[in-house]
Amino acid sequence: MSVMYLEETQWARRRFLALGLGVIGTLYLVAFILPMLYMVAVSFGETRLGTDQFEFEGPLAAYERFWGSEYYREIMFDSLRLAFSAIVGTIALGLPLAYTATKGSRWYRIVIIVAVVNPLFVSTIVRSFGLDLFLKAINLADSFGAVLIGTVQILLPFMVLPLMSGFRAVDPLTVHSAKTLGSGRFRIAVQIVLPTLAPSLLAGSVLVFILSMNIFSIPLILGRPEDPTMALVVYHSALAHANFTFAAGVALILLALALVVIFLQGRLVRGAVRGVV
Amino acid sequence: MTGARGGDLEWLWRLGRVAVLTLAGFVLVFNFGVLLVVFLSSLSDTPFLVFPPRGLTLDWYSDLSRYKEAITYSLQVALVAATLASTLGTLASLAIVRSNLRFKSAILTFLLSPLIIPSTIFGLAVLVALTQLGWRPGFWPLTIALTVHTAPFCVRIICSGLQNIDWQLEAAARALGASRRRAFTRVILPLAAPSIAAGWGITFILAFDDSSISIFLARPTRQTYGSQLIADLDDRLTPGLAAAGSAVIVITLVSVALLGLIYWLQKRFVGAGIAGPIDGASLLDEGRS
Amino acid sequence: MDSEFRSAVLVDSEESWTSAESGDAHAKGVVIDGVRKTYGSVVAVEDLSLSLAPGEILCLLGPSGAGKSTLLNLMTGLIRPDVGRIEFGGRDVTDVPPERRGVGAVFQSFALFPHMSVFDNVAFGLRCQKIAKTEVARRVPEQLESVGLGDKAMRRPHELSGGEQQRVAFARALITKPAVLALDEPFGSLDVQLRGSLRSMVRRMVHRSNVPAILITHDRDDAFGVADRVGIIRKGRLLQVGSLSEVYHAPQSAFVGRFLGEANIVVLTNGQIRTAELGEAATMIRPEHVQLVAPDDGRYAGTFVGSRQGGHLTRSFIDIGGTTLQSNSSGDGDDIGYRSGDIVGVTWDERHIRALEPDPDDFDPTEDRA
Repeated sequence: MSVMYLEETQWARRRFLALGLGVIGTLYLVAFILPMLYMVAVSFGETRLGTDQFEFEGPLAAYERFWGSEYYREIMFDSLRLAFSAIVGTIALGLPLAYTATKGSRWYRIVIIVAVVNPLFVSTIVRSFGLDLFLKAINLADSFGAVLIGTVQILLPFMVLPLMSGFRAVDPLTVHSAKTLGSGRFRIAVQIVLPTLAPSLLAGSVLVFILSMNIFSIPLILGRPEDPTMALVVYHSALAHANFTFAAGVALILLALALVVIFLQGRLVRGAVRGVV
Repeated sequence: MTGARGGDLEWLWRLGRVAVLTLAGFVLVFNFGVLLVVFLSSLSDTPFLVFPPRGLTLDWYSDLSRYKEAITYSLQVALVAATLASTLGTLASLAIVRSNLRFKSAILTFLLSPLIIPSTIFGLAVLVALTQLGWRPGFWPLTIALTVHTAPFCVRIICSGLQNIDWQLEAAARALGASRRRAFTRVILPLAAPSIAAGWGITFILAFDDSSISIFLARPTRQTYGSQLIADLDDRLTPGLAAAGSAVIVITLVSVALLGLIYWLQKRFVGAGIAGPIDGASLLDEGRS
Repeated sequence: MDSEFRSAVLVDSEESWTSAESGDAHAKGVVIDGVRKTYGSVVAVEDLSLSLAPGEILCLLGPSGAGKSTLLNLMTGLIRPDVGRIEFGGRDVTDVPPERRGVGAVFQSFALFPHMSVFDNVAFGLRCQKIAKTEVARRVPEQLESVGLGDKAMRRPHELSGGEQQRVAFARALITKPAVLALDEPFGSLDVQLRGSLRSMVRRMVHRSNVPAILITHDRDDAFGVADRVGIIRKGRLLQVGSLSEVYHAPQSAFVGRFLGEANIVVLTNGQIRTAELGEAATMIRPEHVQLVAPDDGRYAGTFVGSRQGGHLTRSFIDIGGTTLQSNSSGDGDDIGYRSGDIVGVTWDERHIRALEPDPDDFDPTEDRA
């Protein structure tokens, strides 16, 4: 049944569209596109900011400084290590939770969802403080482990929710016919469930990856000052050292990483679809 | 049961189910336990922040003035940002759903694009732009940045909600004698209201809880509670901070409860549901689909 | 067709055609003149003209995509014609927006406002007309009573059954004293068993209110149950308009004939009978007019193939030299008295057959084609 579009006069329609899309479009342009462009420009040292203490050594100075220094490369490595560990952690915790939430009764589902989703709604900072106090009490604070626990706690919902939708997409009829044909549970899991789940796994992983690379409050509260992540570097450079060029440069590296990952995800999903079809 | 070789592993699966439930329970306890830790620490009768609390007192709650201002400021910012985001989101969604444009999906992708930019990077970018233009951080840059940052969630929820409305109802109203305006306000708007309210609620919570953007865009003298907590991290760790945290937790939980109430009322009185903010598939994917 | 049609006719023979003199200002006829509507390169409706007398029910029958919904939308004013004129009660409404036309629309999905009670749904049109509260409080319960829903005023639409919802939709449309009723497949989403009684209700209410009504449908039983006149529409063109009897017994084309009921469409030449090709000049014989007689008494003789009992009808099939003829009779299948393989004769009254002109545009609505 198609939606009925009442015929409007040309004028009314144009005015309607202008209002609806024009305002928000302008806002996006001014408050989103423009700042991003400025940031790109600043990362190349194109414009000098008032308190910028970064000596203008050439357009790629910020990037050279980052790549050239072993210190910063270490930091990038550490950030990646954290991100991948977070992915592993959220998958390990998230798979069984998502599975039970989908297949279980209504009560299981409610309990699991409430358990998993509440970090989304209560401030990350407050939560991280609480975690830090707790870990200090048992002497586990200020370590990679602490940051990892905090990250997994906050990012678990971003893995569980896509996985739930992935489990829901598994066709119960296919599973049933496989069972009647004699396949064991393990084989069913690998040959039927996993392929259907793969896109959701990928989606969740991409989310967890990008978010863990870019959240700075968790490592700030739970980690050691000597061991920052890239996001913390951005934060420190910009606000503590007023080094906007460098901060912008690192931020753009992070952004580029995020975009590459998203692009790869799109490629992989399309490839998988083509393979199946 | 014919040929099912998993038969002898039945005990394993049953054990697995118990294990998962324990896991869920553990996650639940852990998540809420952390919040409890914050509350308990606020009761400590020490000048420094420690857990478990030593000595119990409510003194720190009587002097929340430092954070009271910050919390109030956060509320103001969140209120304005949520209202802006939901208003603009509604207008945009109406335009998308009702019109016959050819590039609908491209437009939707564009409207959802801020989702791709993490808040830290976005906050920095806006600050950079501000300083380039010679302006200073403050209420409006912060609020507008938060509006843009949370608008995609709003658009997604409201667009979904509008698509679930039977637009033939508008035709029925017009045929019955309702002017365009009346058909909209008496028929469409009430049906869209729950989605709009949900969008408002989500963006309010997101804006209220934000720290990554406000740390860049709030004036040092006038901070949101998020940025204030970060600023106090190194030198002002007192139970007062935990007290402020507890207040924030209460505010957020109340907002979430209200949001849940909206979803429940919608289901009960109109029979249809509202889309969630993070429905399964990747948020980022959403913009590209 | 039959029992429903007959019962409807019997009930109405006592009906108040006298109400045609009610003289309400709104109860004048409808005129649609030369209307054309295209969407890009697709012509939805072409040169359509028809008129309705007050209190008359015209049923527009046609296959999907014939342009019925477009016509309905043109009438309600939701879309405007490229060419042509539409008049309600002598008033030109071609350029009048929907809310000022006074069309009572009932949609296939009923389109009841889910967030309002039944009472508020029915009162909606009155409130748009700014009618006084006391007046509204009086008329709404009255209208609900007349459709048998007096006690459901405070319910919500989703708490009602399909049939009840349809009655609310009707009440809602009728209470505004519209100039014309536009019914878009109003029985489409209802159980078949319900349709019979609802059709009678619709017919009764429309005649009583003396409002002209157009009913759009693809179901010929709707026509048989409700219509005063029938129009067949196809590919945006009106093929034939007339009373039920006219259109059924004297269709102007094979398409119309097939659409209104089962038909044997054959070519009769020199003692030969064969099935007609699509579009050639032919003769239509309704199966109920084909009588089975002794082989020597019939016009043609053939082999009895078999019969199927379908409720009140028994359909028999006779093979005459490769051509299958259908014969319908009422009553028990056992009364037929023939068995497969028997030689049997067929005959019919000369007055019951109908000559059809060749039609290059012919197609068989009983064929499932894209």
